Amino acid sequence: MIPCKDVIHRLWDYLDDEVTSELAEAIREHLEVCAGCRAVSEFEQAFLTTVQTLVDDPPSDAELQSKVMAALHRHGYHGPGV
Amino acid sequence: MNAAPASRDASFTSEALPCLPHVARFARALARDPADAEDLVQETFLRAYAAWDSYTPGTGCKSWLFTICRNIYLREIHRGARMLATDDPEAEAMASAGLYHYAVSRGLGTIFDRVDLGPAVQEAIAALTGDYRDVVVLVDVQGCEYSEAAEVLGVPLGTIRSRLFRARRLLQQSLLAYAEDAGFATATRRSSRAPTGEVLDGRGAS
Repeated sequence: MIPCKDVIHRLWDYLDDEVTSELAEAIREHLEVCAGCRAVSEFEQAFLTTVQTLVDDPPSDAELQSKVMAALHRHGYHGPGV
Repeated sequence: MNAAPASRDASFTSEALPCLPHVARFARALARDPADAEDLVQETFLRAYAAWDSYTPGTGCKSWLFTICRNIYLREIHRGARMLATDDPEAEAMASAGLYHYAVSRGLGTIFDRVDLGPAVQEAIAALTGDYRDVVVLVDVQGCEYSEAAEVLGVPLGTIRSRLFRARRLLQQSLLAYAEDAGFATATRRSSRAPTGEVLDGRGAS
């Protein structure tokens, strides 16, 4: 089993799905049996979820789209829009 | 040879325009002022339309638009693209693990699960310096892969990792401080605030 230090070093990469499938499997196996690393992983994942769900959709995307389309048409665009 | 105007407009319509909400969100994170962000979006699409012949269809239009958007932003604020020294991403990951142990000691180990930190997250992201804010917005908010963020920001993959991990640690420190100030901490020990710059040893990780 890979050591805790290696798991923590690559934890962000693992949670971001940026590691090889072999390393992902090794980290997954480690987390299944190591409560300490699993707790850190769950904390980091909860943090990521908090940030990732910060979906701040523009309140006036439709209005912004209209402005962009008007500007594009003034510059020669003849397409139908979004 | 350039595409015929109708075909050119059709491909712009189908590939570039659907990215507008993503570009709008990215622009707001960069500019923060809503009016400046709208101008930035508009200028991005005008530049993209003018340069559409240089774009190869199907090669990542969203990233291409992000790059244009950021270049306009950088030029307009006369900041210029600068490279920060690459830190050690593994040390940053260790420091984040240390923050977890600090959070547990303050009764904040499950703070991200049980408290709506949305407004605090927005403030914390806005407070990051540009290089850190850009990478968090691209990877954590927009869902870009590291390689896409590296392409947009024009820096090596290792720099993306170190900036991202540092930015996440800074955000975690801000959010833990916010949670303590808001009275969510339950532990009685009040020896210090969330650890700041030091790289911890990952204790407790066996």
